[in-house]
Amino acid sequence: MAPASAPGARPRLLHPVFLLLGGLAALLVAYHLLYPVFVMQVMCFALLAVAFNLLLGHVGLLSLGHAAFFGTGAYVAGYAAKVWGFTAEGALALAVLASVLLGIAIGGLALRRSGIHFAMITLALAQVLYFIIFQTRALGGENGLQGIPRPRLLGLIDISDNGAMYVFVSAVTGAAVWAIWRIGRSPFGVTLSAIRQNEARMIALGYNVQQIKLAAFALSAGFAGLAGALKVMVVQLASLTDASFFISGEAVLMALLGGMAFFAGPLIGAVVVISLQLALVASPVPVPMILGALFVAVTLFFPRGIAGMIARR
Amino acid sequence: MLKTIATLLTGLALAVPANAQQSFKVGVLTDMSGPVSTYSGAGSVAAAELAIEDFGPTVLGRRIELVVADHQMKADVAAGIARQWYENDGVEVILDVAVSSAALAVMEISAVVKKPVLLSTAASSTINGSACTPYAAQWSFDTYALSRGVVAAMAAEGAKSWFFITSDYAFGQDLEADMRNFIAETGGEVVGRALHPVNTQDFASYLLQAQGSGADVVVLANSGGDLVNSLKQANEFGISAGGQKLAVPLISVPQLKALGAGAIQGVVASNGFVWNHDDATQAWSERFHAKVGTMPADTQAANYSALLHYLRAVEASGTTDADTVMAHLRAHPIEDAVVRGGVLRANGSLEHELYLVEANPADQMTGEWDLVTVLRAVPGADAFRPLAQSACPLVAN
Repeated sequence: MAPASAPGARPRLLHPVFLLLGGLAALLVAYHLLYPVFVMQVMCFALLAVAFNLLLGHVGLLSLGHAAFFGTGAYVAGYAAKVWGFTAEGALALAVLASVLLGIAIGGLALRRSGIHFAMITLALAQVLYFIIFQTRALGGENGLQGIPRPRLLGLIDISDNGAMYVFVSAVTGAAVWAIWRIGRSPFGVTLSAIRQNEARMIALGYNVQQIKLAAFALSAGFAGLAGALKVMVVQLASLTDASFFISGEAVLMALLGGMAFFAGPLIGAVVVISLQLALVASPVPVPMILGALFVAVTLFFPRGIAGMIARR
Repeated sequence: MLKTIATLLTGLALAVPANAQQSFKVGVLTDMSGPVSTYSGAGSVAAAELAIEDFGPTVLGRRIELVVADHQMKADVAAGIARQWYENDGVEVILDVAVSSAALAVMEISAVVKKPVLLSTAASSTINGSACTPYAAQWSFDTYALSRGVVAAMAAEGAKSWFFITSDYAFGQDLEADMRNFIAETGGEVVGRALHPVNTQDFASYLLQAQGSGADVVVLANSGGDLVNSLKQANEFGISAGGQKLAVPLISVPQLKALGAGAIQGVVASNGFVWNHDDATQAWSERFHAKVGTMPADTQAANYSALLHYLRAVEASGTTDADTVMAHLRAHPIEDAVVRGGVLRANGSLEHELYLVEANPADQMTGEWDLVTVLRAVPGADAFRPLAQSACPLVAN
């Protein structure tokens, strides 16, 4: 595993203030230069990747089941907005609540084991959820939930046009990413890093490691669910892909490609992966092949990811 | 990192063409590398190119430009591309949109921006049912038409008893429910069914039940990997060698080719187009083969017909206004090298002739693509759901 993101050792270019300013500037430029819906999709996946890395980067837990939370967030928010007529913030809150509860359930089971066993249990449970959604008629089976409205914020503010939605998604993603960053630097976050570095010692010191891990798992699940719910508001559909292993794999890809030892790593990874997926839709070489080659190249030559490459300079 | 982002952004910006006003853009949006690309993908693109070749290089004085994108089987990627194409890039019509989830997503957007989408691969009957829009046309068929065609034609060949091997989710269950109605209409009898979970590897128990039932016809109401597995294993269990027919509502010629001549014996299916049905289809298919290296699937051929008629409708009505163009398409018969007796109906489904085909025994094939023989042509009116029964709100019942 790559070195920890200990405060102080952080390279200056990756300092949060720079990231924030850079992020805002990039958002503004992106809105005018690029298609806003694409940028919003990138933001949703960036949030998923950062949420996923809260487990991998901080606690050293590799979950292969984050699609379960992303998908739950997507379907719950979609169903609440479409069928129950929830407002935007209501749908998001319900989606996060559902994902956290599912996170506690899945985490509670999976955290009884570690390493590859932990990863496989998360994968198996996520697949169970996938097939439940697949077979549930109310959720549209393989067609997914289509034609989900963009609900009003607080029941008052219309965020249905792309500009307003862009501000809303930027604000929510920004706040969530900031929250995850704060969690990482809080005493709780330091405890998580300590567990990753020497779990036995933490147990000996009297920490209830199991409970702390479960809390981190539930938090990560909640943020992943938020990402899924936001995605549903942006693209107005929840598809089976959202809950499929594909999404779990993508979260891993983004974190490793970007550099899981760095807070900005998964962010960069998400931007690269989703941009490539969207920019290369017309390429003669299939997109998965390009992404696969990139992944092999980065893990072989830059094991610390793209963020690691930048930080080395 | 800023530099990285800036580079990326520039790259993305360059990827978006700037000359939206100059050319007349038509977009093929499909799966270029996944499982559906066998009967959509590059073949759909080639079919669209043939349509432009046959129509001529310009429409309304603007040069026709074909743009292509790979939605990677993801509905949200499809929706994103469709929005960008319609709203930013000046694409006038989107074609194909393989996979029903992606098709339904693009239909939503097409209805909002009021630009047409012509679907040639997606077969969900929801498309011309509750989800129908005035701007969407389903150019090939839906599951209802395919399965009705199979039942009607097989009953006419003397099939009396039926056994279902059904994929246990909405698609399979709906297909079975539809087919049970058709079977009851023909006076046939369903003697049994076996439900299997999605992504089953071992079909032995289901196939043995089917064999034991002694039914005239075993229906495979499944799709994708399940269909391939169950077909291969049905051959190994000697279902067709034992005198039972295998009815497969949804399978295309390139898929049959991929399964191999030995594995498809006794398979009966409905197709919207058969490459060697007559001289016109054969001549067109040879041109397709020269471009792609395979014979066309019915869904790929439908893409040719859809684009050709769309361009003709635009030229004839002198405008790209979607309401006018769609009205023109509905008002005129659809007839070309691919589609016979076509009528675009108010619910967006193109009613046209379908073909009941049977796989040729391996020793009677005259060429590597001589995979099927047409048992009978099913007139559109006998296959497609009557408008009076349509769940589409656009149809006045």
